[in-house]
Amino acid sequence: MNIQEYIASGKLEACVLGMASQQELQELEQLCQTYPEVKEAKEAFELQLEATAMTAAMPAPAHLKEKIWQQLEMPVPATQPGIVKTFSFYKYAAAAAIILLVSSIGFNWYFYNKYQSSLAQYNSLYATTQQMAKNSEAQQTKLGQYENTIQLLSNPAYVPVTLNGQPVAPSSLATVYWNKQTAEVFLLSNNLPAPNTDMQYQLWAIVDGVPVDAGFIDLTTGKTLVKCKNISSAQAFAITLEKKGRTDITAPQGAIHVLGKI
Amino acid sequence: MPTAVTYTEHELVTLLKQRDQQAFNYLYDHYSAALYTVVLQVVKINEQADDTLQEAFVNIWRKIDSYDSTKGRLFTWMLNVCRNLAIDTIRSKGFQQAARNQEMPDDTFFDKSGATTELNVDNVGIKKAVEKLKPEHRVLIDLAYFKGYTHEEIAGIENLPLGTVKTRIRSALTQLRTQLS
Repeated sequence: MNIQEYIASGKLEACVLGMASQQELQELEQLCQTYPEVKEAKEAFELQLEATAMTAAMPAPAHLKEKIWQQLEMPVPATQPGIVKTFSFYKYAAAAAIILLVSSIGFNWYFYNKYQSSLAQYNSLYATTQQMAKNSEAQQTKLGQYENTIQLLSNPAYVPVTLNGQPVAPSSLATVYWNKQTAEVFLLSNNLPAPNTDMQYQLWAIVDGVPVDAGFIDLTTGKTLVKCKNISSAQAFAITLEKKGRTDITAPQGAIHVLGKI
Repeated sequence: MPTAVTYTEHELVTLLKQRDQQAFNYLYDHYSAALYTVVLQVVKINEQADDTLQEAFVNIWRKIDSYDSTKGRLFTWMLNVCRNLAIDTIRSKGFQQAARNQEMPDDTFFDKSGATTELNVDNVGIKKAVEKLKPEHRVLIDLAYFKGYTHEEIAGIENLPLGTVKTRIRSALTQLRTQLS
């Protein structure tokens, strides 16, 4: 049997409406058990029929209810006004509130995650920027130092004095730039090996055969000129390697590493 | 806020089978108007329609055990109880007598004017859907559903072959389904 043909035949409606023979009713019952689509079509029609009948309803006379209850010998119930069908405002309001709450939670979660990832990105960008600023500052400082070095080297007022390596450090080499007018002294470390951590280089001006302290040499700034103490007159410059923290720094105790006469 | 008791169909049927009077009260309040409308559409005279609806609800209460929910919805069953009783009413001798006294002019009630005891129920509910059908379909549904004539009787009334009557009624019912939805 073609089921779609049966559904479209009108037999199903005849059965629901009580216009069918006993045989047709039995046929429908069997088909409903075998074919879910027949059952669905029948139930759909029943619901349509009920809905149609319920929409346009003419109320029965009020006294009729009492008569029915009297005939059934039951106590007549208090009449309820109107058709019993409640559309509770609070139910709808509660449902709406729940929907709003759930969607709000969803949005909160979504935006919180967005916020978290944005914050992480911001922090990482901020750190990068800080690092770049620091690097830039360091580069600027170094650049400034090189500029000063070049300026000084090209200034004819400064006399270069080459300090050559001595027996304890034959390959060591340094240059003093001395301005006799201003007494300013700068040192360029051409090749001074880094000393042990407890040692440091000290520059001396040899004035009439006596060494005069011209300051400790800081080698951490690289190949730039390091300003030393002012020396107004000298015949030679020398660098000794001294122990750190000795009490009298006005007299050399360590060996001479480089030496140069003017 | 007063909250009226509502039931699902399953709860309602279960309670009715347990002879729950509150459930029956709900059943009446909820469905009596819809069923009364159908009864009026068949019987057309208020007094007889009242009596028919009364009998129908008495039967529904007393014969609820014969309702089988696997065979259809509660409303479908009640609708058929009401329609069968309504058709019994209009086919009874007493009704024929009363109808003559009412001097019913015709069956369609369309061109009726002036005060009568009939309410205009021809343009509501199921009947409204029937009125939308093609005339040849509408007449047959009216005779078969609202007057309860058999196919053989209709063939005689309309002077049509029995096969044609059956085919047209089937076709009309298929059309009716589309009108209901």
